[in-house]
Amino acid sequence: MNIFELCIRSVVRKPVKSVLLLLIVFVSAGFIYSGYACRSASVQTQNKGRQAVGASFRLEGNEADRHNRINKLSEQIGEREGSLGGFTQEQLPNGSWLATTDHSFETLLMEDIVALSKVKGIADYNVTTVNTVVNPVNFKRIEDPDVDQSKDELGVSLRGNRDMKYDSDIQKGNVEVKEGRMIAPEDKDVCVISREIARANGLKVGDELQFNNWQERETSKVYTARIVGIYDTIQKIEPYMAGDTYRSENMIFTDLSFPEKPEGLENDPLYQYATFWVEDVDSYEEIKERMKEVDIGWERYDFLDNTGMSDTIADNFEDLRKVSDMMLIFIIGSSILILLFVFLFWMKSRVHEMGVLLSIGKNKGQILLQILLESLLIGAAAFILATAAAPAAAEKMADYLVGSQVKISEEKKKSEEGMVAGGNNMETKEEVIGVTVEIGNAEILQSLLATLGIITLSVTLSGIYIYSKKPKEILSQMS
Amino acid sequence: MLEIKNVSYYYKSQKDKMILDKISYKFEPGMMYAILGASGSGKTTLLSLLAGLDVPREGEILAGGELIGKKGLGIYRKNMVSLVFQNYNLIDYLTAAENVRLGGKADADLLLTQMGIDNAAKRRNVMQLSGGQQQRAAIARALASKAPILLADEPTGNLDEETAKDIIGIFKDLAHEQNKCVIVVTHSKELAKEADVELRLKGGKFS
Repeated sequence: MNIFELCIRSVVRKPVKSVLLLLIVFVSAGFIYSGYACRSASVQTQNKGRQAVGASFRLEGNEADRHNRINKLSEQIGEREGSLGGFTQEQLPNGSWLATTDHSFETLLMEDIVALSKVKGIADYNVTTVNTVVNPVNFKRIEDPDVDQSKDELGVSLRGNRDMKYDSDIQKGNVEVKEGRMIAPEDKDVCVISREIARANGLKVGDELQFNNWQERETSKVYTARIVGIYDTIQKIEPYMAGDTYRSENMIFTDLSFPEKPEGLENDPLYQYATFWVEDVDSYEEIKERMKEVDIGWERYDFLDNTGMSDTIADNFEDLRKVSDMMLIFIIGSSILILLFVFLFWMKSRVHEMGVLLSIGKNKGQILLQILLESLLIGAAAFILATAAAPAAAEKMADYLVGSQVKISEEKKKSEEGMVAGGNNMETKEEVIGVTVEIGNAEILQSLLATLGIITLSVTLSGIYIYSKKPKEILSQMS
Repeated sequence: MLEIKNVSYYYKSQKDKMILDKISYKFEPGMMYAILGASGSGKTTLLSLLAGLDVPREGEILAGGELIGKKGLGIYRKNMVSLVFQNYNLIDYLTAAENVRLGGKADADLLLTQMGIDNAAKRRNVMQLSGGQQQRAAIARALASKAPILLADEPTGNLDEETAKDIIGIFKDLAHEQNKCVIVVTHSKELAKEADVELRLKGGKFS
């Protein structure tokens, strides 16, 4: 009877021992599978994350071009007062020159934005106005009673968006509309106000707010915007400038064309930046090339990869990869330890058999080989079962790990509250909509090698027990 | 066949207490030897040394004129000796026939038949056999190796009188008919009487 025949009989005819070992190896292999799957899940989620939060491009004014245009227009006007192309120069009483520009000079051109939005692969776009200071006519703004307001504009800030859901603070998760709704592209003369302003003025959704030019409070035309929503802030909106006019609570979101009206510049908007979201993140580079081919005055603009969020997500999932690696090390280490004790116990319980085999002339190596073969046989069966159960187990573990990472990230964010810039920063809320775990051939092979390696190492280490005993000692133990 | 020369044995923790004290003896084939002695007299230690399961502190053991450890004690155990124990020491997850096959390539069925085991019992798990049947299976396994030396440690200790007689008869036959050197360690005077040579161990020496 050869060793293989003997080990088959041992496995089959000692079912309790075999099933116990099978369960232990099954659990270990399941964890190992999950660990390897999580490592690959982290990479997949990194890409998915970009898709989930929306990869985009950002268009904004080019500062160098602005200076060039000012210089050119100034040269064209010559050394005299005058206006040209939105640029005005006038001589002050002291002889120096004052140069000013209007919205038409500064703004992003809507025709360029629309042309870019029509590029194949662009899913949607948003346009955001510059923060516009206006006078609150029929309501009170929020003020700090301890602050001297004499140098403040005594106004509130309006920020217009084509589609409010794409506003940077909404995307970041700093601002959440808890009552009413956000502003949609088709809205006209509507606004969303802060909870603090609503509370201070007893305002509700459907009420109307009035605004006019803050520099001509008494005489300028008053414009009305209907409240469609009330927002709460999780993290304060970072002010552009000092003063209560710019404080978070006094930020009022409006439709795209509203801010210019109370400013007294109707039909003369000032669009600060535009954002274009891509349909498929995998085509990001192709879409970018197509956009660059659009015939607009590119010298006027900066065209940026808006991948800040993707990078943040990537960082987090690099952390997840590290966690997965550490978890794998822990699982493999503890599996070796557990199996080592199991095999030690197994060896002790098989002293009788070892003694018999030694007495009939088998050597210790053959006995150890038989135990190793039995273990590998059971391990192989456990591994097959673990392979069947792995997708579900791995997904659970990946969900748990991702959840932990998101939680850590949120806590980190909270701890940094007040230190993070908001306004124009296009970072978006770190949100994971799900984790996909796929167990491919690489994961199967890695897990198989790890499981068999653990079994072999554990049997070999516990085999020291056999080698440390003399045959006579084993025989005297068995009797 | 098997010769011990000035063999001494003591436990390392009790060096002053000799278990075996410079004993010498030559065991011949075709003979059955009974080694008797009180508990702790060194009978089982001597058997372990003869079986190559342990090595003497002093002296040497030769088989066929060669030191038993020359080619390795494992090889010696496999080729030269077969062991029968009081507790039968069969592998508990094998049948009687499979246990015999473990001992060597001899015809297990034939050996078991010779030992008086019927066909049904041959296919049964050894733990389902009676004590006598188990000991017969153990002897059959010992014979399967075709080793010229058979060592038995209290082989009838767990058996009833009648079965013990049968087993003693088998040992005698093995010595006289198969020319094996049968060495039995026992407390049993009945068994000792049947042996060709009776050796008594006392104070670490043969008396």
